[in-house]
Amino acid sequence: MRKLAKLVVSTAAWGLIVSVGLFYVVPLIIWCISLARGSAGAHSPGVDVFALYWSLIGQTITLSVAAALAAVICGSATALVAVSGHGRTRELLTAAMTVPLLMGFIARNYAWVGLLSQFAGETRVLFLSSLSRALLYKQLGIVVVMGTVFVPFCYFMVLQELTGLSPVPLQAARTMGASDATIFWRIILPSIRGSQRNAFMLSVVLGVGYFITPQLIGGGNFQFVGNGVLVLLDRFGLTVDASLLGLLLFLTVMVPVGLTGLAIYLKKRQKKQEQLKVVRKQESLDTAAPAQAD
Amino acid sequence: MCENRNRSTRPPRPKLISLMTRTAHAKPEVLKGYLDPRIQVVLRALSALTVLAIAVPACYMLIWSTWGTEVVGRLRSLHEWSLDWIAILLRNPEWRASILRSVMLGVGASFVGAAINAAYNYCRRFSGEYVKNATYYTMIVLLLNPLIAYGMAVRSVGSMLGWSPWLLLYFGHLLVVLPLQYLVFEAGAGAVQDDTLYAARTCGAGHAGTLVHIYLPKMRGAFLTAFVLGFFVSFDEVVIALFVLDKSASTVPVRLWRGLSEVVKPEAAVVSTLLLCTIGFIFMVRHFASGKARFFSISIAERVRRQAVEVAISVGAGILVGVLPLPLGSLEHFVTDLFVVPVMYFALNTVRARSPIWQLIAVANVEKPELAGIPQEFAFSSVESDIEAAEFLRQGRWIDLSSQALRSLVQACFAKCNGPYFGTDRNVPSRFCELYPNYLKTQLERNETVGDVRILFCERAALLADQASNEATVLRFVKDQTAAGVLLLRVGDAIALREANNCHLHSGEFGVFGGRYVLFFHRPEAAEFTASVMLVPVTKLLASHLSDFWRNCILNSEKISASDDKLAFLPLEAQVELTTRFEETLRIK
Repeated sequence: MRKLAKLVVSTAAWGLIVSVGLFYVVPLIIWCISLARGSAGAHSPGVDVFALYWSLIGQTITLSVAAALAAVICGSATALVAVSGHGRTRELLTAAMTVPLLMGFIARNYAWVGLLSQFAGETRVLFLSSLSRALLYKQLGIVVVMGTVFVPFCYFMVLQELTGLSPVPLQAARTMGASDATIFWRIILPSIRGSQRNAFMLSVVLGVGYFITPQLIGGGNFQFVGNGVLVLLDRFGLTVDASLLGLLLFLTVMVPVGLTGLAIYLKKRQKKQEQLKVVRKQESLDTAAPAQAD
Repeated sequence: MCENRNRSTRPPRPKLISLMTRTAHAKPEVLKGYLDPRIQVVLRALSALTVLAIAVPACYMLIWSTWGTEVVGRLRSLHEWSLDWIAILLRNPEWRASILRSVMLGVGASFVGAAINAAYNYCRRFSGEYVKNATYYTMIVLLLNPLIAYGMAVRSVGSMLGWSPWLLLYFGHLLVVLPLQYLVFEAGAGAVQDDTLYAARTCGAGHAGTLVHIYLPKMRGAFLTAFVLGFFVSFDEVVIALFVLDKSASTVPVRLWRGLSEVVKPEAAVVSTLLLCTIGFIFMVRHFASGKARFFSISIAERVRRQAVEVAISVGAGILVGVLPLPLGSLEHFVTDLFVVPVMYFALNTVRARSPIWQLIAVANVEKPELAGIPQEFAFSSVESDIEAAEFLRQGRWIDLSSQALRSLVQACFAKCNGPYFGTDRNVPSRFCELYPNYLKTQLERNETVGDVRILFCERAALLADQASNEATVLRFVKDQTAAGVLLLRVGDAIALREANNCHLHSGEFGVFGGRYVLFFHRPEAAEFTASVMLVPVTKLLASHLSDFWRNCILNSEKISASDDKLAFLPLEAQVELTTRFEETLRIK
């Protein structure tokens, strides 16, 4: 009975992976097979999906990178302010970063459209009219709105790194006569570089798959690959072409992710092996030393 | 134990959710004093810009739902606000159907996702490292997966197998919420130590018993958080739904997206406002649910009276807010009271419950002894504060207090102290009077001060030196207490601190108010605070430690008195009686 219970528990531990296999991997495989067989639906020989992909991917990546960069800069600055002020400041900033997440993604984009349209017309407030016009239906607007969407992720990741920062190097630097500016550039910024890099990569990966913000804020003038998929599917009903474009988008995201994961895994493995070598060497030295003494 | 207990390094804990849940306890002010002023100005400017960019659209959305028109970017004038858009949306059967579908999908997918994650999180404690690593990396991949491609895949499977689009959408949503809920469970995994589960198994509990009686009660918070997060993510999910659903049926976000080709109405803002109201409702339910546990512990009349006072304050504030803009608008402003009243009610409670000093005073006055382990006679007017107080009390945190806050706390403590007061302090009298100018006054204003004892942790030389420099203050300090019947003693601070350490006390400086709870004092780290305090109930263990400490101090103490305007140090008699009285006050059987 106990063995049976152990078997059930050890099998149930695979529950998440099995769920992912059933609901994620199987549909993907079926989709790829149907795409290869050409049975996925309507196809138009006149549509060059690869050309469409190349025309969209540049803009997609450029705007995603710009938005991710803006998010990392603003998120890092906010996190730095959070840990350099009072606890109340940090709580307020954290609340400000959390509440919009609960309001709905499309609704937030709608709010930006409404807000920018509101001020793009006549307004007595200085700069607001020109600022709104510079953002609405422009690339800059897409970058700003996507940036605000990614900022909370960057904020939380950088804040995590900062709260774990030891004050010892800061105190040591100050004792040795370093100025506050030197401490900031030489100690604080390098300490959070890792989390900034992770936040940037996460934001870029998420941004590449977006299509709502470019459609709403860009007004359809600046299309991402995702918008291309929707246009092919909804407007022209070309399921196969849309699937192919979707597959290219999938590979654009997942191949770098997979390669990065593999590189991290190999690096960790190499480090582990080196540590193991050092330990074995130490052990052999420890066993050799008494023998020599004898 | 027969289970696999591989305790080697686990995959790194996911950072985002972990921080969001731990943020209240995280160490603040890491960089305080280390940022260059010029850099600080730049950072603050960027930070303000960021918060504005996030907060302004959110606020605009709320405004849009009441002042919005059919023309995007055009609002009505201030006095023309109405709830028409909310009414239109809620009266529309298609919208109602969409909301119902989204809610059902959200609840179903989120609950099942949370259950799968809970089961995994339990079972992984008894599994090998490879399962954990494999699951971790799978979840990361799933998190980064572009949903457009997955949406296409689900659509393809649906058309091939002929399954219902709602079933496909359900599986899709389940997959979207799984990795996020996984992060929540990983972040909350610390609530149940592996050893606790192993101990239960060793003691003979089956897996089902361990899961139901030990794991789930402790992981209830993580489960609820995962459910709520999953619900909102599922409710907001649009990508898969766009690919799977046809135009005849849709969820709320799909309806919003497809409405783009028509006129941009304030419907999105209304939905968002409704979402926020839902969140408010969840908090309200939680608020009352936490009160319900104590509903039968007080009389209904008393409960009604307390609630009536608070509601009356909220209604008054709400009507005031509603009436103020009346000259600008119409009677419709009274409708705002419907919103303002609950907002004011919860704002008042939140402000009061969150403030440390209110928490402490609530602890001092808390009425529910079965929750906090402190006496019935400490009554307070707020049920919610009692619960906050009880929770606060269990945590036993140090809190920095200003002199004003400390005075309020001490007044509350002495006001409800129905027994002798036993206190210790390591400050010389002049410093004591400087730090706590009203402490003695509050103590001595009580009716029964005979039997109070105060021990000063000072060397004789320090007291004499203090008398030499602040003669009037020191003599008044001693004479006032002696005249009121307070026994004033002295122990060397080295002895006292060593004994406090040996007896595992939070601090050697404390006050025992009536023998039921102890207020520990500590020197604050920041200069702007007067003291750092911790209030804890007297448990049997603490009473034993306090008793040991008190006994050792009494054995090494001497009595302070003032005769002929000079301090005198006399040997203490009746040491045993004094120790016994202290122990009786703590009610040690």
